[in-house]
Amino acid sequence: MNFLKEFVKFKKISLSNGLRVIFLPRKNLPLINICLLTNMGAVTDIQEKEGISSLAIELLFKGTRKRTAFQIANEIDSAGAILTCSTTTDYSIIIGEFLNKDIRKAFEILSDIVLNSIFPEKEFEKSKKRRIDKLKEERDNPSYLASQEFFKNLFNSHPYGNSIIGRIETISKIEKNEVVDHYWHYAYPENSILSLVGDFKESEALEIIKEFFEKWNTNEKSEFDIPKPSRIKGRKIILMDKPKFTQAQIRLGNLGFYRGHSDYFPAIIANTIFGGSFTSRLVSEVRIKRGLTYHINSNFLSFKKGGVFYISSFTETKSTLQLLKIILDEMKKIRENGCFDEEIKKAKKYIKGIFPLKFETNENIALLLAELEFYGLRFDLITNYYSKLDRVTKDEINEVINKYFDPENFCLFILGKKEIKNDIEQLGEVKIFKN
Amino acid sequence: MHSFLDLVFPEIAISEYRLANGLKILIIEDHSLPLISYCTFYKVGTRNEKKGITGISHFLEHMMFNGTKKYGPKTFDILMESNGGYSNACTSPDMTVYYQEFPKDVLELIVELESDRMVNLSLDPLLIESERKVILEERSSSIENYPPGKLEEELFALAYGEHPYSWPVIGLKEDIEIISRENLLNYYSSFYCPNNAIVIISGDVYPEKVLSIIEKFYESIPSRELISDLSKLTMNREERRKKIYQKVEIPSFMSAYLCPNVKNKDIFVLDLIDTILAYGKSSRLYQKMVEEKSVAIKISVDFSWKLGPSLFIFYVQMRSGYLNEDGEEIIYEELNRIKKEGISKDELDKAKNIQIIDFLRSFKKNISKAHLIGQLEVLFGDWRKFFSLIGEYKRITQDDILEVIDKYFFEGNRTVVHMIPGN
Repeated sequence: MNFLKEFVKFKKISLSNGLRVIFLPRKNLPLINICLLTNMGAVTDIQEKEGISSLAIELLFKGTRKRTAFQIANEIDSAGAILTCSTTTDYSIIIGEFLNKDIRKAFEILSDIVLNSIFPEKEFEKSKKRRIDKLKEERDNPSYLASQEFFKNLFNSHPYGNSIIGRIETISKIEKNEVVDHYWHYAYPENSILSLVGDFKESEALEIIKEFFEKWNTNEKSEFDIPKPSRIKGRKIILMDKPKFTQAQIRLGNLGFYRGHSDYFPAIIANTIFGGSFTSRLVSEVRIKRGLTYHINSNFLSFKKGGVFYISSFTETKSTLQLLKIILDEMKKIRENGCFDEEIKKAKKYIKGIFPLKFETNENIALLLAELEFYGLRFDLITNYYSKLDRVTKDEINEVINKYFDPENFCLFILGKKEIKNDIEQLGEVKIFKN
Repeated sequence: MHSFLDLVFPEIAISEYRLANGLKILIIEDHSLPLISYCTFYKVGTRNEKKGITGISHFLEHMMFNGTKKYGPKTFDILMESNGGYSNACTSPDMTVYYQEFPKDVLELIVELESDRMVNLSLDPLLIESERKVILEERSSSIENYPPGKLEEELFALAYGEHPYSWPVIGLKEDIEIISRENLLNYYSSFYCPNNAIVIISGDVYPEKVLSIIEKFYESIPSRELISDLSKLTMNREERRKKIYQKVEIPSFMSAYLCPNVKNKDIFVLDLIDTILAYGKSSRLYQKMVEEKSVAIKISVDFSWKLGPSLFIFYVQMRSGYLNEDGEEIIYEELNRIKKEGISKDELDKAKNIQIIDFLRSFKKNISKAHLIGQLEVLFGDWRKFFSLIGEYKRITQDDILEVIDKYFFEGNRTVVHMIPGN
């Protein structure tokens, strides 16, 4: 864990307007990486206006009081830089990579788009149309479609089931003033975190950041309360009929836990054993022994107030039931018999071995530092990662397995052909999903 | 416009060795994390295949994880993961690459495993059958059920005719279904040998120490006589076009020009043309197609260096309600505009800046450094190309851009495939 010594040296300060700034100088390449995280994600989307957060952040690049959309793009590209945005369920980020000599330019452009965007009407209309066409194109993407509909059905109407990029019917309904209001409602300094990692002088960087970000006006606090999502009871099985695909996409799961939950360490070990690595039980049974698929895995996904545990795979249409039965059998087996000492030892070693890869690039570190702050996690989660992992006992792992690997209560979403309905009914009542 | 041509690059320490059996070893030291990336490049890929065994390079790549005489099936992955590492591989038209990342103290084990499967592969008949099913599922998800994959398959077939690049790396379904153990064994014996491989170790290592481990495990593997294989392709002088109707939501197309292989210096000019036309949101075609005329959702260009003839491919996803022809017209208009008006010094400098900083980005990770060095060694026959790459871009002039556009971007040298929503 010696390599972590370098990372513990990061500094956190708050500007007078409440913007939290985190620095970590690392002199390996003449580059700087920036991450500006704002507490505005799919979860804060207005009801029936899914996709509004991601649309708002995208529109920041479409014109400011100083620059047209083309000027923004051209200045970034001409500097050989990257400045781009993305939205997750919990937050939106703007991430950038610039040559260190362009540090001033980097923060000047970033502050311009964050503080001075004018959301031009014409650009708004164009972005909206493009988004709708993008969503049409995604209808040809079975993997994307299956995941979207799985989350929606798992969370019912809870905002964690919101689609990040929205849906055709919700994007069509969004008005320009709603996007503008939505953005300013969430985009204020106390609701944001700025991290900077790379080759820079701390005092110089701080001066520049103050110059461009201290003028960011603070706002009334935006309160939004995320209700607690509820678990699926029994087997909720949905089949979406897509006759044009020759494979069935499968997503099966139920609720998991929030970021920072004490189940985290036993859960990642359990998941590595069950379906989270190439030598896991699911991969061995489904891919290696039977050749039923190219891809199968299981995964814990955690958000601020809740999470998911789910399995994802695809297979030839006629093998769908066989594959599902194996997944459920494996769940039963691991619940009944628990996992073996050898497996635990191997999983711990695997997780520890690949852990340093998270720290290889400065963009990863910038995001990690911003995320830790956003989720209210302490850095000792990282520095004590190995010892926390080592301390996990077999009982704790089996407890987590009993809690989350549930073959009786789950949401199962299948995107395939309706002809397999009779087969799948062996597992429970199947609803055909209309699209 | 400022220029990065004077950018100071970080030092990169590379040591080179060659064993008596022909195995080349390149070691890149970087002690910032306690990790090692280990890459083995075999100079074999689609270009070595022929009809009847298309996809065999990729099939064999899958079989390399299915056991040797000494280590049973899947032992490779089990040992890998239980020692805190991961392993993967990829096959491309010109090479097959196996790579691992792991904590520095397990190097010796990895060297043993990787050298063992260079010569002792089992090719168990039962495992060949189950892997065949996996590969067919992989093909189904990446081609049959994935519109851009389908479009690319049609484009390669039409553009490359009889040349091996005409089929996808994964192979044709009918061939994957019948490739036999004997085919695999022959292919393995022909191409998996030390004199057809390069081992690149990047990360927390000291060259002398690594070399002694490499010698211990690889020295006894004999070299083999290599067969020369490269198929030739004559440029077509007539445009080739095809329309395919699929149950898709939006129209899309690929339009591709046949371009030279890595032996021709025009490839560096083509890289800059790629950047000028389609890199970033300020690029010419993004501005025209997505912003100004708003007819497309996405425009991208793919031009990659190859040992054989390459393609400069425009890929466009149209907005619904527009025709592929509308998109095609804008591309050709833009190419004609450059032919007529040329490009400015600023635009050229911007493209050079982007190329150079992109090169700098490959220094970020051990694995990306190893991949870059390995690719240069396979494609140019010498990893030292690394030191002259920036120079190649630096010397390109505005006139070079015009000359290269004139040379390759004309109708007779073009292949176009349209995918149209329908039955």
